[in-house]
Amino acid sequence: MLNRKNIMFLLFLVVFVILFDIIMGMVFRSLYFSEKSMQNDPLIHAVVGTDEEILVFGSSRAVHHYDPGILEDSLGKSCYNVGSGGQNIYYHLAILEATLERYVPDIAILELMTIDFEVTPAQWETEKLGVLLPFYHNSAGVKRAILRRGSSEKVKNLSSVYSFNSLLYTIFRNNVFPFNNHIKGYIPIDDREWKNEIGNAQDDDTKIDSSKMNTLFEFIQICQSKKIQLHIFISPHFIKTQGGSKYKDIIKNIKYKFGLEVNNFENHQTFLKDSKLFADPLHLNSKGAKEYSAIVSRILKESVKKPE
Amino acid sequence: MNWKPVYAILMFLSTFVTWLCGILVDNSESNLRRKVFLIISLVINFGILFLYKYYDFLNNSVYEALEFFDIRWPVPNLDLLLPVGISFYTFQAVGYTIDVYRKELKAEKHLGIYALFVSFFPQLVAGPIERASNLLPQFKREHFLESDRLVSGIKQMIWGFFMKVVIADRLALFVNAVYSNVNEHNGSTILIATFLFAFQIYCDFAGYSNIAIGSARIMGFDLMTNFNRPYFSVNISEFWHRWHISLSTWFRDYVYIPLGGNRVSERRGYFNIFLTFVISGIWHGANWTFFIWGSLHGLYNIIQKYFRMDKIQFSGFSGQKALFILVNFTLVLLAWVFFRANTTGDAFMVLSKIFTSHGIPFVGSITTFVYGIFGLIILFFREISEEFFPPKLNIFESENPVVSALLNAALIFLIIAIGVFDGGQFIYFQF
Repeated sequence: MLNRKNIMFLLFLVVFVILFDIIMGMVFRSLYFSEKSMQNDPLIHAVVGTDEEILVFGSSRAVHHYDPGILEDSLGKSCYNVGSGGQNIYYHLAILEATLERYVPDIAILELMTIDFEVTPAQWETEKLGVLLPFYHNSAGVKRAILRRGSSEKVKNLSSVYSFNSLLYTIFRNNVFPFNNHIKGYIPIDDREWKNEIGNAQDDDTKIDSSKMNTLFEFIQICQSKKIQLHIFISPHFIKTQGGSKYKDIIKNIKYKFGLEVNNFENHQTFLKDSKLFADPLHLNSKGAKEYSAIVSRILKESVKKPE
Repeated sequence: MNWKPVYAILMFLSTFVTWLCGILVDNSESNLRRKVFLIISLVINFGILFLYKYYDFLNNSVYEALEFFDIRWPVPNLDLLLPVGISFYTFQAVGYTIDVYRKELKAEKHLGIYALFVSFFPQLVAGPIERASNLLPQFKREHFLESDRLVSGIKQMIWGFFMKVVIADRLALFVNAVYSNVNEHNGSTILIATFLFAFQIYCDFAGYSNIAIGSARIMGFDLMTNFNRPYFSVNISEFWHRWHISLSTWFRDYVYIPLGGNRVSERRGYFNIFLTFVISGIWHGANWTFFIWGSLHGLYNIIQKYFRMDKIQFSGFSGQKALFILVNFTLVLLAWVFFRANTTGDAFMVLSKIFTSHGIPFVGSITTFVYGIFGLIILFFREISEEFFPPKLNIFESENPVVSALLNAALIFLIIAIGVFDGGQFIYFQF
């Protein structure tokens, strides 16, 4: 039997939980998507704010290597770097789909990394998609990506506060102490030069993850079906590839399936000879990024002149 | 921690053997027959546990010891995955057989009811390790939905989830980052990680216990209290009366007392304490780190007993009591280094770095600290209120349904807003 005090507790508990969720969810949403946040957080702009003609997709190597200013000056088109550190092809596809729900860009650049097609712990990959939670209700593409984390996400996302899980500090920072370290999504590494000798790549023991590979192919297919000029790049790194490139099979596959050439800068001598262009073996510093972005813009310019 | 459907057979075997041996022990007139059936039950149950949990550890230890003398040991490892909850249900089932053997309990004739006792889901995988005398009779009573139980169970579950998701899993992000790479971090960072680990493991395990006890209570079952604010203990003996109570009382009743307890010579008494703690350490895992952890607690206990420090009583809160709490916590912290480190080598490196290598600590993600410390502040507030203030002044014990509902709704909000939902499994699932 329920006594009056306990009925009141249960009733008020349900009411307070719902009220907290609705009110705080609204507060978080309005602060997360505030004008200040949109300006300062490249992630928010990438998902809901872009209208640029060129978009750069990829992980940290995209974020640090592609300077939109150089691409814009050279091609006369607006550009935004929608890359995000540590992310992989599931994330890139979600951003592409969210973009296509609003408009169709002219050119897409995809910086390909091994994490975009090789086997890694599944949980590790899907956990990172959590950064897209605030956009779960905004975009079908994002929703599809979030559901890769598990079917329980459908239930969890019934809560409007859950969309902003662990983002309280980010919301506070974006609105109170905005920290802007990017230029249209590009984050230059200004203060570091790699001084060590060139390292050797590990042997090619890449195991292809079929789910990731299919997602990569889906990314390419969507671009082709929407007539987006897609350019896939593998930007330079300061590592000698001895036992063969880890990318060789995927490059062949992309060429075979889609007739698309991958621009592979793994063994580009300008970069392999100059450690000062790197911040670490995997990332160019701002000096290297400028040089590399200039090369990329030349390639893009050529292809714009001679459309397929 | 692993689970495969085939592991259910192990649990069934353990259940069936202890059930049958319980009946055979109970029905036997001769003491010898009773002892034989008890031994059969113990050998089968501990044999399974040994095979899955300790065989490879022992084999590797023998291999390494003989290698030192250039002797080859060609026996291969079994590489078996440890079935989830095996240490918990084995101890619960073995405890039952011993109780029947001691004539403290009548054997349960109904296999279904007995199987429910061994596999009762709230506490199956990580305790509390229940006593048959407490749990078995509850399965024979009719249960109705009782509002007091429902409400108190819900509150306890909410607090358990808060401890686990908001505090333990958040602190784990930092602790794991540091302890998985101790040679890269300085002593200051490692000290902070060790301090946070003390609260990570407490909130992880006590959080689980609260969820288990709360969910059982909602269904009408009372499980034993497993934690009672252990870090407020003034000595190690008190710590073990407040930490993992169901395990420490198990070891007291089924290991320490049969060894003679304290009704033996002083020296033998110390030996009994030490041995009990060493076994308790090894129960946690097949690794020398757990052996040292258990040994340290054994030594702490012996030293405190020798100097009669366990007899010191405090009435109310005082500076002296605070000092004893602090010293005791430091000793527990020191032992946690061995519990958390991946190898004994890592543990000694951690200790050496804590005392010798200082510098600016690594912070990692600022959010880990912001949310983790926020959760800890709420934990401290609650535990200090419960430990040192009368219930009337403790807002968590408020009788007012609106205040209580508001407080619990706020905890649910914090769980959703700052909890870690990608967190790992419970630490004690691996034991």
